[in-house]
Amino acid sequence: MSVSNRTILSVASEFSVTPGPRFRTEGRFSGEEFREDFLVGKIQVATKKKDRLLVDLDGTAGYATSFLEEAFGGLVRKEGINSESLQKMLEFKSEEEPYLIDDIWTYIKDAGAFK
Amino acid sequence: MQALSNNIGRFCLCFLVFVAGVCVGKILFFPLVSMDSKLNPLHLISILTTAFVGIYVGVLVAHDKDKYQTRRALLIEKIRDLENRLRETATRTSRNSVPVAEASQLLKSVGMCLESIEHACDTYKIDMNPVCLGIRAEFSEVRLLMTDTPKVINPGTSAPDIQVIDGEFLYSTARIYAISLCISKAEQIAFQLKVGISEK
Repeated sequence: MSVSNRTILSVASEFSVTPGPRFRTEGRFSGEEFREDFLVGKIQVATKKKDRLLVDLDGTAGYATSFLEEAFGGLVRKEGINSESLQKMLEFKSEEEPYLIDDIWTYIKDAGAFK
Repeated sequence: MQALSNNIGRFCLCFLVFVAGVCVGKILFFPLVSMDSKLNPLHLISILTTAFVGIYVGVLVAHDKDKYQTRRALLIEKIRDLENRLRETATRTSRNSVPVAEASQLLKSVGMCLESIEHACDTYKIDMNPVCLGIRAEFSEVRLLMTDTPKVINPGTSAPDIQVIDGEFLYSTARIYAISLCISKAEQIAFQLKVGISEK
């Protein structure tokens, strides 16, 4: 789904309405699974199209802190993507829990700082 | 603007009804409505206007008071809802294992409740920011304590305070105590917020 220079990734409709734990070994719909199987691919598509990637966080039952940290902090820590380039590329939408957006940016910055 | 024009309209209507009432009373020689035949019409209008402004202001003040009390009751209801959700979270975590989806759901419901209280305070221009920030700080801590698992799993070392096995968070006794402490702090601040709003 692409809307005027913006590729959208909806966690609820494209991944799961019940995001799970941090690692695949801990259970279904983990942050690791989301990052490796969905997020990285979407980032590549968005980069090719020179789009920004909008991650829609609404519509799920809620997020564990470790899911978000592994999914987004893991982009820097494990996928080797620069945190500055993520700041230019990523956008988040969360009308239900707006505080999650600040948290995610903190995970990305922290992962960059401790890399 | 719409509300102001409605109020002016209502005022004019009341005024006309009152004047009509006085005139009818005068025509029918109703004993309670007596007027000096030498009374200056300007003075009469001035007396009537003063009486009506007095009544109208009284009605407006009562209306505003009702509106404020309704808002206050609504906010207190929201805070009670937050307290219930915090209590539910504390009860659920005290059993030392919670499915990941359930923990996330509990936290989301608390977070949304808190958002709605902050939004209502902003809308009603009730300054409760420092207290709301206190609850938010405790809530952030509870979220970390309940769902932040270690970034690296080191097999062979002693079990961490929090781990996930088969899609369920398992907490150590120390972690459960820390969670309950944080939740009770949040409840105390929510109670302060309730008292603060009641006293406003």
